[in-house]
Amino acid sequence: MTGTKSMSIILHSGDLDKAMAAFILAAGAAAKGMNVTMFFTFWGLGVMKKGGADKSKLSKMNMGGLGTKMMKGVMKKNNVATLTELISDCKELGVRFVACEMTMSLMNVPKEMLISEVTEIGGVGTYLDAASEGHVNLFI
Amino acid sequence: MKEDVKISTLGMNCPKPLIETRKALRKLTKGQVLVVEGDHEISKSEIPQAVKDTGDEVLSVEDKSPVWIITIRKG
Repeated sequence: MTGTKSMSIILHSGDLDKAMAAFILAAGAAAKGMNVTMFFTFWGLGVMKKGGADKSKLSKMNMGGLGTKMMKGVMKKNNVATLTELISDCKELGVRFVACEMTMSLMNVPKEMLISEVTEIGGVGTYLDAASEGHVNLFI
Repeated sequence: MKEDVKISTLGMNCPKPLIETRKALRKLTKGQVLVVEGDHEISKSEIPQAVKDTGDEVLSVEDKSPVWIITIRKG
């Protein structure tokens, strides 16, 4: 393997559609052999809470939960992976998950509330170290 | 060529065929051969590109539209 490329993603949103995009990109990049770092801040950290991925709602047309339920049904029918499945795939392919320390203290989220796939806690410096080596850096 | 591992991605949607291919490749040792079967059209070209990105070798891409079979040697 020569000249391994890197990617970083800040997941700021807790919306289902945006989190899906983030994890699809992360898994795809990892599958292409890239080093991927995902940084979870603000509402994005909620997705990494135990049970958080299942509670995630559509950013538009949620309609009190009905829209999200319908979208999940359509996704299943089209064999699109669930958010939980994509998180697991990312982990298996070596994607680095970093929880934002500031958000954890601000929103009173101790490490125990996060899924076990999140093994790192960091701040803006941790993210910038990854992003400054990144060929693709996204804020979602 | 006799494969060491064969996986099916039939019916899977983006980006699962690519992800499952990589997961399978990671479990192989250098020189072993993986056969991937699928029917997700875009993956037919995306998997060979992703495989080249990591220094693995595409031995063949068989098109039996809508099904394709990609044979890869782990690098």
